[in-house]
Amino acid sequence: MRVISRGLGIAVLLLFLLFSFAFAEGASRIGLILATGGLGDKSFNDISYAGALKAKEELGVELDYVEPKAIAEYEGYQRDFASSGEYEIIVCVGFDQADALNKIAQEFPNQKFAIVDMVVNQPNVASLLFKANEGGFLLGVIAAYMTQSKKIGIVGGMDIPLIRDFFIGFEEGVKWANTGATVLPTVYVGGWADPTKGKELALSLIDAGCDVIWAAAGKSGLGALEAAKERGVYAMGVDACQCYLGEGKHIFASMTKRVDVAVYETIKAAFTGTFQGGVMEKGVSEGWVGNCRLPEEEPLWEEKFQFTHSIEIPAQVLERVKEAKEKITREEIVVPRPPEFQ
Amino acid sequence: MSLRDSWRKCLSFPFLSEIVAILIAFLLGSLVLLFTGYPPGQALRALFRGAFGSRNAFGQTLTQATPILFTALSFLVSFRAGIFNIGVEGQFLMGALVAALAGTSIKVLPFPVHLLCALLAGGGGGALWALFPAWLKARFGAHEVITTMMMSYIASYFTSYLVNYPCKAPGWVAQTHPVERSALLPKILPPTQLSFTFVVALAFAFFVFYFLFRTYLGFQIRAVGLNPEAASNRGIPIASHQILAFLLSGFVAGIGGAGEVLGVHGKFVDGFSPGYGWDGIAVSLVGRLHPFGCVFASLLFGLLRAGGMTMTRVTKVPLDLSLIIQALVIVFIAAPRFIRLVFLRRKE
Repeated sequence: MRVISRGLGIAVLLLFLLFSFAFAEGASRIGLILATGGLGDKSFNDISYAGALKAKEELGVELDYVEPKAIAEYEGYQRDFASSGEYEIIVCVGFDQADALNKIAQEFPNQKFAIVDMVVNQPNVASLLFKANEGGFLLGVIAAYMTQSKKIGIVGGMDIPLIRDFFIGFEEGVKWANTGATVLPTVYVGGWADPTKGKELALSLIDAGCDVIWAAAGKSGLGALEAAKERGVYAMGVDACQCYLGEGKHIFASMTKRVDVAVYETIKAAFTGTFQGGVMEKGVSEGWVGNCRLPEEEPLWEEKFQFTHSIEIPAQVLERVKEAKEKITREEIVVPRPPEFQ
Repeated sequence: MSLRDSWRKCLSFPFLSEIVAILIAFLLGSLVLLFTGYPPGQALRALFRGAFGSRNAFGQTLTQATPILFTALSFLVSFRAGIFNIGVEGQFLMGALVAALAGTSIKVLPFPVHLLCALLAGGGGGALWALFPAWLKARFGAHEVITTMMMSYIASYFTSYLVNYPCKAPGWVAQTHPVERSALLPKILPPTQLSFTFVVALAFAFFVFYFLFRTYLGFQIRAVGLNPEAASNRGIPIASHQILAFLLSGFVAGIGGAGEVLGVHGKFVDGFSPGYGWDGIAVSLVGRLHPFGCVFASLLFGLLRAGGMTMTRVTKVPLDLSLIIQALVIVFIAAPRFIRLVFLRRKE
């Protein structure tokens, strides 16, 4: 009896090895696990998908993606992707996948993973982070010139380091532009999905004299954009180019977080053998954050969202933004960050 | 014996009409796939591979079957007493939340005791959530379909509020702190998510069966459900029996929620249930409102859910299409007479 069971065990093990070899050879696809918002969110997920799609077309490989509906589904999907052994790299979008990925990455130490917006400390995971402070800086420079009342108001989703990073850079950019504009103290919504409160807070900032409003608050931020539209003041977008949301009438610029570039580069690295685990934190100089009004980005966004920016940014302002970008690239300007990032 | 007679004999074989219904559902599902431009063969192969093609797949199928077995049993208990408890989802969520709170806040109890406490607390939470609509029905005759459904929405938003604000663990995700080790149900098939919750669910199926069909109280409850007037004439107090069934139903749903928290996720994550409570109602009906039927029906639904994951990954068929197959199964099983009619072509 024991002999039989041992024999069976060995046979199963051999079969398993055989299969894993077969799979290892067949690993030639891209796996993409989107965040729970799913495709069609006009920002985070759509941009990530665009990056993966570009990699697929350029490398001539297959792309399989899934749209989990709840956080609880991440682990199942990650394991399903990883255990198939068919994927060169599996890209997980969104910080809330980190818990599950930390487990799965240890379970499949030979599988390459990438996660967007969060650190997973496993050797086979590339954690893609963005220097949002540098993007905030560039946007701050434009805002400093666009305000008439010299008062700018900002609305944050939550008072957490990730969001403070956007604003520290922004305030620094306003100061650097040196137009006499000031940024009022940040107000926080306390949630990502509360546009009503976002709108109320933005209205209170406008009442306090602000004529340029910026929000980094997820869906709550859409309320702030709405408030600006209602009162006829300027607003700015975040993550993706959001200027088309006001039909180009009152949103003049957006800080962009190029998840598409990061995802594309990471996938390409995986297929060309240059993939490395660990934290990849990049900013303006590497093209991971930017601004939709920069000449190299503007046509890209306009084509993507089928619109044209109708608010003119004066040429001398754009020159200043380009100058700031150059200086950040050459490290002549070092944009500060919240202490948690150092 | 004529051909028709042998046909009829075949069809009287238990579960045959269910099996035929499942086959027809898959056939129609394949047609839907074909017409929407996906290769049905490849999709179905992926579905079955994802459901039992590997250790992971098998674990995933049973993991997905577990919560819907609980909610199906919960619905069944109340239905047998003539109560239409639509709000299983709410009782499930409240059970999950209470279990998570008991699992995180109690720190002194050792392993099996703490686990048992947390499980029972979850069951209690579910029962308590069923108590209010039960009382409304008994006191004012408020119809339970409306009250339980509304209570479901309250539970969904209330739990979401709690884990977003007062009970939120530090971090970006809306969830509670992880449950203490001493309150966790052990995993069965590591590294898959399958845990002893599944065994608890099977035990509950047996318990519900024994209670309803082998005890005097269970018999009385069924009598109330079948014919309240007759039961009343025989001296069975209807209201108290219905309330009891209602509470038991909430208890089973609450244990199901607790099992998800203590066995699968280890914490209450906002929005972890994709509607297990609502699925349970359908599973209960597919299982012919019998505890053991529910076991098989929940396995079938678990198979479709787990396999659906692999199907979307491999073939890009949206998960919604595997939900269509589920819906077809429900339609055909809910209409067994229809199938009998089609195959017998016989006027009744």
